[in-house]
Amino acid sequence: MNVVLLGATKGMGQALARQMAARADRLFLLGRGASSLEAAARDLEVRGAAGEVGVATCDLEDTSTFEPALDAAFAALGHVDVVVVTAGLFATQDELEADPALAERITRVNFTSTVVFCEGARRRLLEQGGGKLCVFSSVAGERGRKPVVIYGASKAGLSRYLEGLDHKFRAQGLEVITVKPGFVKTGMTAGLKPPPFAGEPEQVAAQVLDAIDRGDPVVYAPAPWKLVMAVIRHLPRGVMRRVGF
Amino acid sequence: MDEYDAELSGWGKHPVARCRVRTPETREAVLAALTPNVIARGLGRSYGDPALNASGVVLDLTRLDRYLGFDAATGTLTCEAGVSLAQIIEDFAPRGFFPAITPGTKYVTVGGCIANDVHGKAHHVDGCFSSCVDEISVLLASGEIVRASREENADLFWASFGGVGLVGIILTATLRLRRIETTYFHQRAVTVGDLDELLAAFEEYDAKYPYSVAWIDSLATGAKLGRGVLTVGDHAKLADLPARLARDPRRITPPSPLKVPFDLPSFALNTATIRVLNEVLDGVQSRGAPIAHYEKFFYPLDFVGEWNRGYGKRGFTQYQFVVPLADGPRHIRAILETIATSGQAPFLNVLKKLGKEQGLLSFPFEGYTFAIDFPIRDGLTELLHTLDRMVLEAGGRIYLGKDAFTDAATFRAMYPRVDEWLEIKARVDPEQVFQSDLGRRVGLCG
Repeated sequence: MNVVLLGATKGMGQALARQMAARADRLFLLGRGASSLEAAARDLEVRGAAGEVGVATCDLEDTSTFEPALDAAFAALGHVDVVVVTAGLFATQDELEADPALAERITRVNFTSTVVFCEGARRRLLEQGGGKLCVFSSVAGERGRKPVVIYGASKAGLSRYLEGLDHKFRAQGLEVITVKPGFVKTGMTAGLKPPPFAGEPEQVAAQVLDAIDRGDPVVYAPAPWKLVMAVIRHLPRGVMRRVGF
Repeated sequence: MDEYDAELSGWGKHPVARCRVRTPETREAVLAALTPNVIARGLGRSYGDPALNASGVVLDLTRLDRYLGFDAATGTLTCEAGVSLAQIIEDFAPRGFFPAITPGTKYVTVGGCIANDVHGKAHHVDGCFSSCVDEISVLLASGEIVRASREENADLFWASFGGVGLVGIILTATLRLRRIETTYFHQRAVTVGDLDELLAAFEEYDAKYPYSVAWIDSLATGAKLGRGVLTVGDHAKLADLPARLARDPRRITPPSPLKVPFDLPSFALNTATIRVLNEVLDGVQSRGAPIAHYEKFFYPLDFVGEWNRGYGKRGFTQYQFVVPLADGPRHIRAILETIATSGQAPFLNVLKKLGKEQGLLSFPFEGYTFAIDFPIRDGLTELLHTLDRMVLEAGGRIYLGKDAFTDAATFRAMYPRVDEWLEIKARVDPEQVFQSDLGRRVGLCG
C-alpha cells in the first residue's frame, strides 16, 4: 500500500505509520519541522517500510505549503492508495476562552485548513481513479459539550465535511474514512486525567488500519466510545446543561 | 498539553515531589523546552530522586522514541534516548538481536541506562552499559548539540555515563546490540548454605558463565548467614533448545497482564511474609528449568506490573552497595548482621560479584555488590546512615540509581573522581541549568 501521511511525526499518526511500516507499506511523510520529519522517516525505515521514506514540509497553519507538498508526495509514490491526515491542534476550553487568538487559530487549523488540505488530496485521488482519504476528527464533534465547546465545534465541522465527501464521491472510487478518537494517551492529552475507556495510540492505530483496509466510513476508537457517544448524542438538552462532560 | 504539574517519584515511591512537567515529542520540541533548572526523565525506574526536580522543570522524554538507523551486518542501532530496552527487544529480538547489556528490568530508556551507567548480571564479563555505546549526542546548556564518543569529546562522553542527567540532555545514542540465535538461556542453580560457600561458588562459576547473580535469605544470621541460591547462565544456541521451543526460537512475550492493583497496606509486608517470600523465591530459583526464556532469566519482576506498589503507600528504597574483594567477606558479614538485627524489614537480597571500574561516576568496581529492598519505616534513615558508614569504612560505595538518602559528604568520600566530573560540569554547564533533587542532595549541582 502506498500511503501519504500528514502529522505522523508523533501521537496516533506516528503509531499508525509504524504499523504500516511493520507490514512493509511505502510511506511518504508530510509535516512541519524538517528534523522531526527526517527522524520519523528513518524510524519507519528501520521498522520495515518499503524503500526510502520520503518527506516534504507541510504546515496546516500555512495553506500555501499544501499543493507543493502533495505534488511531491504523489510524484514520489506514483500511485497513492491512501492519504492520512492526523494533524490538528488541541487546547482546553479554559485556555480557549481566555485567549481569542488561540480560539481563532484552533478553529482555523482544525476546520478551514484541514478542509483545504483534504480538497487537494481529494482532487488528486480522483484524478488517479480513486483511493482512500482517512482523516482524524474527534468524538468531541458529536455533541455540544461544556469541556470542548470550541475544539468540538471545529471537529464537528470537519466531520460533516468528511461525511459529505463520502456521500458525494464514494461512487467514483473515493472512500472517506472519518476517525473519531475518544480520549487517547498522547502528548496532546499528557497531564489530563484519563477518563474510563482512555486508549493507547497503538490500539487506536490498529483499529484505524483495519478500518482503512475495509473502507469503513466512520470509526470510533477505542471501540467503547461508539456506545458512549450514542448515549451522549441522545441526552436531552436539560441534562447536557447540568452535567460536566 | 505542553506543560502540567504532577506529583512525581522514582520507582521506590519515595521521595515524592511536585514538579512542572513538559513532554517534548521531537528534537525541536526538546530544544524549545530547554530552560534553566531542568532535568530529563525517562521511565522513572531509578528508585530515588535523580529524575525529580521540585523547584524546576522535568522533561519527560519517553516520547523521544525513534530509531534512526540500524546496520544488521554489525548490529549497530542508533536511536533516540527515550527508546526503552523493552521496545528494542520487541523490535529486534525477532531479527536476532538483543540489548548487549541490560539491568534487571527492561522498562528503562536508553537515556536512563546511560545516565545511571547501569549494569547487569554479566558485569564481570561485559562491563557497564557504556561498554555497548559507541556514540551519544548531548544537548548542552548552551543549546548546542554535541556528539561525544571515546574519540571525540571523550570527557563529555565519560561524564555522561553515571552523570545522572546533569551534564546535558542525552538526545541519541549509537549502541551495539548482541547477536542471538534464540531468546532463551541455559541456566543452572547452585544452592549454598552460607556466605563462604556462596563466595566460593562465584569464584568457580563466574569463570564458566557470563551471567551470574545470587539471591540470599536476608533474615538468615549466624552460621546460616549468606545461605541462598546462585543462578548462572548463558545465551542458548538453537541446538540447545528442545524441539518444542526450537519451533519459535526467538519468541518474545507480550506485556504481562498481572499488576498490583493498588498500594498494599504496609502490614502486608511484615517479617513473616518476607520469610515466606524468601522461601518461595528460593524454591523458584533452585528449581529453575535448565532452559529459561529471557523474560524469566533477566526480568522475573517485570512479570508483575507495578510491583513497587506491594511495599505500601510510604514506598521503599533499595540499598545497593559494593565493597572491595579484599576483606570483603568480613565487611559483608558485619553489614548483614547489622541489617538482620535492625528490626527493619529487608527483602529481596541480591548479591553479585562485579568486574572492573569504568568512568567517573559509574557505580561498579571489582567487588561484591548487594541490593536490599527496605520498605520505608520509622528508623530506616538511621539504619541507612549506619550502613553508609560501614560501607565507606570498607572502601565501598552506594549506587545513585537506587539511592534516596545519602548526603553530599558521604557521596564525595565514596566517589574519588567526583572532582574531575565537577570540573567538566562547571565547564559545560556553568550556569547550572541542569539540576535535580538528587543532584542538589549529593552535591553534583548547585
